[in-house]
Amino acid sequence: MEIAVVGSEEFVVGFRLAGIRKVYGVEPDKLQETILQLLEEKSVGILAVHSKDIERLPQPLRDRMMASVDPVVIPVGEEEGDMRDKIRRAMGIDLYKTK
Amino acid sequence: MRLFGGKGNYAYACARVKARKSFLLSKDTYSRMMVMDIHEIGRFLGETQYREEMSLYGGKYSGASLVEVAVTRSLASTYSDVLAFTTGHLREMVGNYLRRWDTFNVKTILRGKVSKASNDEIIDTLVPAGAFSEEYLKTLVAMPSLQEITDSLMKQPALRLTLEMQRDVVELGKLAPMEDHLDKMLYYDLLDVIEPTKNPERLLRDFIRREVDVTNLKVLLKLKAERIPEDRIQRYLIPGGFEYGLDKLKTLAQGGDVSTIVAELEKSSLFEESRPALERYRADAHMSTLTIALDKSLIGQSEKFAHFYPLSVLPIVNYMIRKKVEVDNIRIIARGKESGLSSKVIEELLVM
Amino acid sequence: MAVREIQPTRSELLETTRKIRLTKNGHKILKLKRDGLILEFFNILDQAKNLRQEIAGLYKTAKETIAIASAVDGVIAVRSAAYALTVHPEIQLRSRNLMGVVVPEITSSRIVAPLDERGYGIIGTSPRIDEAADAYEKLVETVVKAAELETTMKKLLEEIERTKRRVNALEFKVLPELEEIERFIRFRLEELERDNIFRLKRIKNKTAAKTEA
Repeated sequence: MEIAVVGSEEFVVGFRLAGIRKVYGVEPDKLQETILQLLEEKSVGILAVHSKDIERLPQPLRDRMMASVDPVVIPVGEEEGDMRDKIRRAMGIDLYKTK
Repeated sequence: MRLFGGKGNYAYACARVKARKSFLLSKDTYSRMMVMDIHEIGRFLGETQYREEMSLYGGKYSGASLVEVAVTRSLASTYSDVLAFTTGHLREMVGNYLRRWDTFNVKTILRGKVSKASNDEIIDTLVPAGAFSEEYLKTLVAMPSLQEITDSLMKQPALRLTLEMQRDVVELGKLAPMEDHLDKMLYYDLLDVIEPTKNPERLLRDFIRREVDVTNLKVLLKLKAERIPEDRIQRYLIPGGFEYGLDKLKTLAQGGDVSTIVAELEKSSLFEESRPALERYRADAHMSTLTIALDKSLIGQSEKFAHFYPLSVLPIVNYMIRKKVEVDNIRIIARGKESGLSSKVIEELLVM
Repeated sequence: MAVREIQPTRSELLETTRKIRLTKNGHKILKLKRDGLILEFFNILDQAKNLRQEIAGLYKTAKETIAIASAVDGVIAVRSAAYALTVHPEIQLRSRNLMGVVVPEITSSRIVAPLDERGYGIIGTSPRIDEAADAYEKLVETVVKAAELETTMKKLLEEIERTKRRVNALEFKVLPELEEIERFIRFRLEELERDNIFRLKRIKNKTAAKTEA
């Protein structure tokens, strides 16, 4: 299986240099569509998405991405992303706090 | 190898180049561009000699990408023009100097084909600034198989490709041996075509030999930084350097690590004017800090000889370098701004 | 099971007591499992937190190096170099069992490639591009590690939630119901017992009267 990366051209360009072939540099209006497509794709095992982009997606899609295991969605960026939220809901406390 | 008879049209070519030099952007333009946003830079370039390219690609690209494509295309057409208005031996030298762009394009086409990029993508990545015309490059891109492309390239005498390299590319998708071969040939032929008997040409030859130094040192530094063993380094070294012959380079490759090479570089004339860069490297340990300084020092060398012989190959090469510096600077500002690099970092990257 | 449908027999009582014992046992075991899962989760959470921070740091560096490479060498050259790469990371998903939860084990083919094996030429490729490739290779390697941990965390969280629900169901629904049934049967059985004794007494009195007469 392969790793896929989706986001702005600026975000994805470097991943090509790491040898990743499934790299999708898309305009913001195509982002949601591309992510939905990649979530369905059998050959994608890991989907890396810019954490800033995730913040802008509608909540149902975000929930689906967080729950997805095949592919597993990994937010990449300088922010911590949605995992924290999910844990807070499941455990009732904010375990994910960084010191 | 004399493709064209005669010494060349020095008077005419130098006059043309002199006229074109006056269109180069002045230094204070860069500081003005530094305070513009990316759209303002685009509009500003639309009022300069880049007008044609900016409007030609304005529909397809935007932002820093538009700027990059436009200035790169302008560089390509400038170089083609210069090559077109020179004749004789002068043209031979200019042509060989521009061979680096043929190499770049051949690499891009093969790389694109091996990784199954679309033809459009490959064509947009070409810089037709060398001896191979854009038409020829496009025919190559249109060919359906690596076999046919390399067959056509094998017929280019200047490239001197071997069957083994072709087999590596076609059967194994292995590009590195051919790429490194092409980069070496470039310097062999260029040094070969410059006659060391005449004064201006001797200066050019020395300059190209310094470029070989810089190329070799960069290779040495980056391979050493990755702790690649010395016997695997040797095959990448190009003979004919000015300060660093093969023997000296081999000694450097054998002994020690990056820090010993850097210590050696401090003694070199290449670093005469770039002490601050060495200091910076000590602080940030980025190989690129060092290599950018090497590139800059080489460009500085080209300014030294520019005006010694006004009717020679020197002002022409100097113009080609300056045009490249200008294009690089514009791109550095545009890309740097778009990706949010600080003004300080951008200024360090610029070549003034 | 509605209480009214219960047959208040002795065997039913035995059956219910057995069920209660079983449920209490199950409840205890599930609670143990839940605690174990939570412990395991905390364990992995720590690692995942570190990885997230690592990714954030690596991404910052990678972003800077690619910005410099795109500025100095141009995106055109960067893209051209990317075309030349012959090493493409592939990932394999296997699964392993962690306290009854199927979690993935993600391994990848080599991502970090030595400079002279990447696929592009050494002489002509800019050191900025090499640096950017280095930085992104490291980032992707960490992303793969994070993928395994975060999937494991997600699976564990799901299982913890499921187990929590089951523990609660046993504790607050199944067990109270069974205990109510038990109480009901006992009560009915006692009632029957009293009826019986009363009837027996009456029969005894009758027979005694008959014999006297």
